[in-house]
Amino acid sequence: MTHCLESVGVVLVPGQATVAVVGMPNTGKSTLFTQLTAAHAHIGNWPGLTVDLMQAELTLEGRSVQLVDLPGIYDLRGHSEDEAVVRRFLESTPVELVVIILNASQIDRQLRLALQVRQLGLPALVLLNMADEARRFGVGIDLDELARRLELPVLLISAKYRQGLGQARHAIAKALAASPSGAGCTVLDLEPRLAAADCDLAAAMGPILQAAVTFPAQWRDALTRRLDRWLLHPLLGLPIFLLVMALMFQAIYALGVPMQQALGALIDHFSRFVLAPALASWPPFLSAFITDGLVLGIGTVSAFLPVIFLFFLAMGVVEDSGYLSRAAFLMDAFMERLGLDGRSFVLSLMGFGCNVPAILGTRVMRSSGLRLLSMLIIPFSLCSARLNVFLFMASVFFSPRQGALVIFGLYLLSFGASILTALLFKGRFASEEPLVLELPPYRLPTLPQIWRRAWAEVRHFWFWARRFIIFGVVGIWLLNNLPFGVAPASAQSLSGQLGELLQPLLAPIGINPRLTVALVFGFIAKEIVLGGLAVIYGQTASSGALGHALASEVSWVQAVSFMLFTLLYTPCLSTVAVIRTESKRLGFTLFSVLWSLVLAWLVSFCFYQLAALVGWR
Amino acid sequence: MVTALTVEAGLRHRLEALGIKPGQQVKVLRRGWWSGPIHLRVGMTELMLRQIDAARIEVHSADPSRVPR
Repeated sequence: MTHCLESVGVVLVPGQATVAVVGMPNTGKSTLFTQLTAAHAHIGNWPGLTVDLMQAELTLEGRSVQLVDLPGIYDLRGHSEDEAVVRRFLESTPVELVVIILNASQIDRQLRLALQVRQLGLPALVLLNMADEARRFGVGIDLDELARRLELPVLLISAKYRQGLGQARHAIAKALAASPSGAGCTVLDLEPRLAAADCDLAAAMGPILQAAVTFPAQWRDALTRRLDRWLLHPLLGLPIFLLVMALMFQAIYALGVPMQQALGALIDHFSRFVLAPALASWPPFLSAFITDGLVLGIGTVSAFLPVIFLFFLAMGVVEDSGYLSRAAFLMDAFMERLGLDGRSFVLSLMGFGCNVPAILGTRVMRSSGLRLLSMLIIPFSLCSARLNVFLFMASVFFSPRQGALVIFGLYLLSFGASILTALLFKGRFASEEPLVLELPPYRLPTLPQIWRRAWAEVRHFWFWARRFIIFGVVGIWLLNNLPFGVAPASAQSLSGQLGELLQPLLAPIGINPRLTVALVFGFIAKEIVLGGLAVIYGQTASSGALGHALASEVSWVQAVSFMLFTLLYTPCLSTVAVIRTESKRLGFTLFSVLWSLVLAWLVSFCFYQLAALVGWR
Repeated sequence: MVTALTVEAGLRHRLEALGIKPGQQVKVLRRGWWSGPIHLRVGMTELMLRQIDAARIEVHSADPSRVPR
């Protein structure tokens, strides 16, 4: 029951209390929100990843409550977009209660946010999250003393290990019971009020901390220190990171590809032995459309769901463990020379799952030059939709060992294209944005957490893919079979004509008319490419028949050229749409699409023509 | 020990929220390769900061044998 709000402005239901959740990035705020609401909010160690407002309706001790997860912010007076969103929200939406989430182990600085909320005079409640970490680092908190001094209820919880959630719910209900329904208040003169009290803030914090909190005499996180000694090592840090990534991808394929083949075979059997007989009495045009069109297309793509699930599981571990922030540290010097920063690198890595959330993630950047340049390079990240095309083509045209190398090469090229793009255009998108990022302590990700997240991502991919595949497959099917009476996918069919039409442009890069149709539909979404090929060739991918049909018509050089083009040109319409809405510039969006097409064509052209010179084809 | 922040307001707010403010002890843990960012600890928080931005934080070294920058 969550919806994303594009702009600030929440639908208010009479009698329902609005509770806003406020906290700094990296406090486990989203985890807590998910735990309280059982909603599938995306959580991340990456400061500021949750940028859309999530909200959920729940009933607490008989009171209907609307819980709104505000973006993680450092400072109510801060200058980032997220901080402005929170200010606008508090000024425009009446809230009955503000729940302030603080990281208990970092209360020495995070207390500031609680004091700021208190200055606004809003009814509030403090949840000190990550009780486990506070204990691990030797931070002791006298809850009663803290509550007395803050004049706010204070609870110690651990959202990750589901400790204290019951009490937290009860405390929220109790706080709400004190206010009659409809008593929510907005804040007037938010900024002047905070500015006036700003100097009291520092003065107020010291005595409270001194009275209520004991800090360890020495930093106790020996684990983080020991790991960082190696993982952030000036010389070894980066090679270790690249090795970890390479091993991670290797493991995903080693586990995922057999699963994909088994699932593909299963779907194929179902289509052939269950569905085909069941549809035997239907008109042949219709039954062929269902078995050779829809089931073929959807089946081919759904076989890749296990690989995608594993990918997000692995990314979840990297992200939740705190290693992703280290990647930003390691890569920042390099990215700085490309006119980018460590965050752009991390977002590009996230783009390997899906480009769309990665582009949304650029909202943490304030400088528009930096944001646009990051948006320009993210689409070159080899996303999971493209990966399933490559896994399939590599298995058809190469031995397993060569195939792994080809995939690895495509990953390298994906980075190469980003680097080249940044180098070429960094002058046009200059930025002097300072970079200050938290490096959280290493954490052990919990299985339920990363499992739930990977599951949500796969579901998202599946709904997304299914919509596009049905559309794409219907389109390709019609192109192949119209005008009436032509042999499917022959030169006389619409698809054949389209393919022929584009031949002057695509023949020099080795793309034949049938592959052309797949590429044209791949512009909508890469999920369609493989399903589309299956429909074009009228063969299933899993039984190996599509592979044979392809290999009999296309050389491996053409196949590689096709993969290069697929990697580099526009990832999908959704990416284009999100670039358009995030950049708010039509010209930039067109430029991004055009540049990726030009680069794709040039790279494929060079490869194909060089291969011809060498005599490979 | 931080003595002054000579940065624009946006960055100052961010630094203060992360605990870097005058009078606060900070410890440099490491510098990144290729003149990369600095890894700092401030109170219970660790963070990274580019050298160019760190240069605007005036500090007074607690250890006289090490020259601050």
